[in-house]
Amino acid sequence: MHLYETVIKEIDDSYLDVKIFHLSFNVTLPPFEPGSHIDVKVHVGDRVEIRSYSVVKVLDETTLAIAVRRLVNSRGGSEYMHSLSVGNRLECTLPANHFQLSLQASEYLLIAGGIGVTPIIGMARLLKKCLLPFRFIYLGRSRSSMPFIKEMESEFPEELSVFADDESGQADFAKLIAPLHANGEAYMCGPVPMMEAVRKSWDLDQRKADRIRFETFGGAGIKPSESFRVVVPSRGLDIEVPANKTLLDVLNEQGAEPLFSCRRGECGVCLVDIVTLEGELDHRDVFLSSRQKDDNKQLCACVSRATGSITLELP
Amino acid sequence: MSDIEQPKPTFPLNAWYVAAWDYELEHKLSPRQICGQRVVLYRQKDGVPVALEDACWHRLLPLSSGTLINDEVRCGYHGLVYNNQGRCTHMPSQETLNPAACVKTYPLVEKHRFVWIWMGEASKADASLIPDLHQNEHEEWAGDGGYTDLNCDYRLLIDNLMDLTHETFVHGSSIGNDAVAEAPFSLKHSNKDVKLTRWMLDIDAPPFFKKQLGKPGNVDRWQLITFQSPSTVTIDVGVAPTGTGAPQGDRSQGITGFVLHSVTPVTENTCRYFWAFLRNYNLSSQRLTTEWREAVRGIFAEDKAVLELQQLAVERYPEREFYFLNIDTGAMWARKLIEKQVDAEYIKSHQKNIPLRQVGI
Repeated sequence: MHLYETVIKEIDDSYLDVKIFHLSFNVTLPPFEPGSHIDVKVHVGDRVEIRSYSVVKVLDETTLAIAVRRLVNSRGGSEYMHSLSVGNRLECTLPANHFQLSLQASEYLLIAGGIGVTPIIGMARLLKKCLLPFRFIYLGRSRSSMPFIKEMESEFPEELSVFADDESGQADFAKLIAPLHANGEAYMCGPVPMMEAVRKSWDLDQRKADRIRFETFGGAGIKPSESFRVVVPSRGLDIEVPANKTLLDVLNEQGAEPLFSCRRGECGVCLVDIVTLEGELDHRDVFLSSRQKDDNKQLCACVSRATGSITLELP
Repeated sequence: MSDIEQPKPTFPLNAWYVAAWDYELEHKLSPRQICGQRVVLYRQKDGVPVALEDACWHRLLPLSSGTLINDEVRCGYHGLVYNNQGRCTHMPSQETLNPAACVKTYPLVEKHRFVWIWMGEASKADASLIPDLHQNEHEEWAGDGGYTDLNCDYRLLIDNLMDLTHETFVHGSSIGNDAVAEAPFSLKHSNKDVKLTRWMLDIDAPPFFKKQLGKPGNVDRWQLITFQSPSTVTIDVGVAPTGTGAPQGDRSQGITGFVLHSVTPVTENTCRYFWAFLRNYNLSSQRLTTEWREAVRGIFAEDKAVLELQQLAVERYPEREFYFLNIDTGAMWARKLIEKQVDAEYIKSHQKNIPLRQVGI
């Protein structure tokens, strides 16, 4: 991983709890690809960690924009980002893309939830430029909390549908998916519960799993993060996972040497077995299927959480 | 900390290159290297060609060593399956698909018997930018072609085609004679192409053309060369008996050949040269088609020998630059157009790529 030094040239905080950073690199950026992200070095307490943020747009040859929503009781990366000011330096990678738009489908459905709009904006702009038909569904708690909504409304007056919980209520995903061309593709980014709901409707509509693409950076779950107790009898551990740390972090600190890879709940490397559960699980990964999640027998330690107390068996 | 200054590429990526002849692609996996990148090509059952990055997302094994199942590619290592859009459709031992699992796809367009590939930004792949080579598939033209692998920078071949004085010395036994080296030429260029015109009037026909024309006496000979950036050169060639009006536009007493060349960079110093020779007379003669094709193959083998020697010499004298003569202006314009295309997409050399440090995370 190559890190480059960047300087924060501008911070736009016109949306609630969101800061848009214009980062100036000391190298020329590759051509912008929608869906791309940069990895950013953040300081959380005394630790250095890496967070991924979608590239919203490339402003000029050396400057790009990312947007970060401040999440309290999360892992701490967003709080660090929100503590920064114009002129501060950040170490970042060049953009990489794990969420490519195909440009080969006959119709597209874009679904964004809250700050999950960041990778979707570039997709909408490119589809529009390429004259490919698409619909753009943007969901959030309220308009004031939905970043870029004003730009989106003016750029995509025909394509955009906004669902704000405090106005129109819940979106009916089955109804939104149904008219999509059989050869159509969906791209989404947002909270895991939203993406799970969309995927369920997608499956029920008998559409192929490879025609729906999504991205998660291990964000929020069904419930707010709270601390929970973890017991690992084989290692003699009885520990507390605080609200601002992940189970993986705590197992690591305790020397349990858990294996992990993506840290976004995608790969399944950090899966742990649950022996007993006194409380509830909050699955925030996309590795386990709905069926497996309902079974409550395994948990992705990097993103998923619990309430109450769980007893684990580590591999 | 070390400076990683990327040398400027010799080829643009935002361009159409010939990936294969139409007949080369079948319902099987065919690996290729194009512009330094490994791709796997195949035709779907409905005939539509597909190009995927030739490396499994999971463990990088070349997908071309896997299996084509219906229209999807199964990796030969752990069985991950990819569809024609590069999206993983099957993963072993899990109930979901990793959302990041996909390999790159490349736009392909089949036109005029070639399958063209776009290695750069997919959103810029405009099929109308494909060079017009309709003679390769047209009822008023007959002929065929092939390809030749060259161990040289593709631009050396462009240089070669943009200056046909070399015919006199490289192809003296077939198409070259003193007249080519002595005749003046005229040059025109735009920001997309370079056109060179050379007329050789009242000359003794070189052996190959003498045989094809089958008429006694001197001839007027023409070479109308068009370079289309970055790597296609077409040459309208022919001879007509002197005095029958060819320079004025009446070619009815002569014969016209249309030679098309499109070269695809494999690496910085190797390339695949696709060529064809079409004629507008004696269309039904399969014998002539074969004769022309094999004659051209032999002529281009002479170029191959020279170009590969030249590449070795270029590598032997890395500090030396070429001398330019008046005969090189066509090649110089071609290189200039290529360079403009490269510059337009290249991370500019004055801004060095300097990572702060390499970290393993």
